[in-house]
Amino acid sequence: MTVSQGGPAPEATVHELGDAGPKAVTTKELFAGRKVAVFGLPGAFTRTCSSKHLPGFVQHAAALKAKGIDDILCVSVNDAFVMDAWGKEHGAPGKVRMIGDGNADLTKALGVDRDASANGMGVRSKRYSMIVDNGVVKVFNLEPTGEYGISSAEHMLTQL
Amino acid sequence: MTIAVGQRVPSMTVRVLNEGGVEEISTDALLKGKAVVFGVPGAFTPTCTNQHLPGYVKHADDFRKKGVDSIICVAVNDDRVLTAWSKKVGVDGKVRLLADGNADLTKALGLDIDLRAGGLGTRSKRYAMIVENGVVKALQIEETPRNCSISSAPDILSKV
Repeated sequence: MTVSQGGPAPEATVHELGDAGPKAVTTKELFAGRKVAVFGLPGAFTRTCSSKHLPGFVQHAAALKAKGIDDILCVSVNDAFVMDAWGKEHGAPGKVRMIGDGNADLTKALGVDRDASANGMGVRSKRYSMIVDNGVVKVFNLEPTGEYGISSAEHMLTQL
Repeated sequence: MTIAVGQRVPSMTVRVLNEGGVEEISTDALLKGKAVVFGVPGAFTPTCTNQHLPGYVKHADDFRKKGVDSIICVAVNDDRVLTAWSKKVGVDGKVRLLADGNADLTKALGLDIDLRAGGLGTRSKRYAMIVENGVVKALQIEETPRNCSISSAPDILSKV
């Protein structure tokens, strides 16, 4: 089941690259006591994700934070190493945190997983964005397959 | 069950990077002649990026001189991630990258490993094998993914 607006964000463990390698972090830790913008996408280094989705949030990070967002998380079913390398390529450090959901635990808990094995990508994430306020999903934008619009940073700015 | 010396690499279609993108090719066609195949736990991870793949790139000409027709790197990553990684490492066509994003080949070889603890899901053990016309002639599997000794380019080169 897909997560619902107004309900609690699911609990899952994800990974972020630290100095000593991937560091496990729970959604509880990520969401407690703060307002967080999250966007999920099918894969690091893929076309729309690289040319629009991530760059949009990097570009508008300051504007989102000026509207009360404490943290911006980019989530994909990739590992923390790949996410870190991809984020650096797009100037994410200091603006967008690159979160690896390599086990797809968060993606499945949100109900936004999809089978991309026909493209040699295994289980991946649909494209979405959400605003999580102190652990509660306030806004949830799920893109229809192949589309890019409502999950963009530009659209989220209109929702704050 | 893990594949053993004397056994044939299972027949299946795999995805290999080429200059124009991705080529779908059968393992039988790919492994014609003499091939060295090595598996890595993940693109952009430290050992794979700093030692394992660069070693084979560096020694590619030495392998050719010893009659090796192709050098193939297998990773449970998608083709976009492997393309970005090969650019970073500077593979320059010297090693063919096999994107086993669904882990189909890795599982068929019995060389998969559970790396969920680090948020990497199912991956490949670190190994290298010498394959002649599809038949495994030598196989070296590292004890842990962090090790890169018996599967390294210098070690395999001495066995070709």
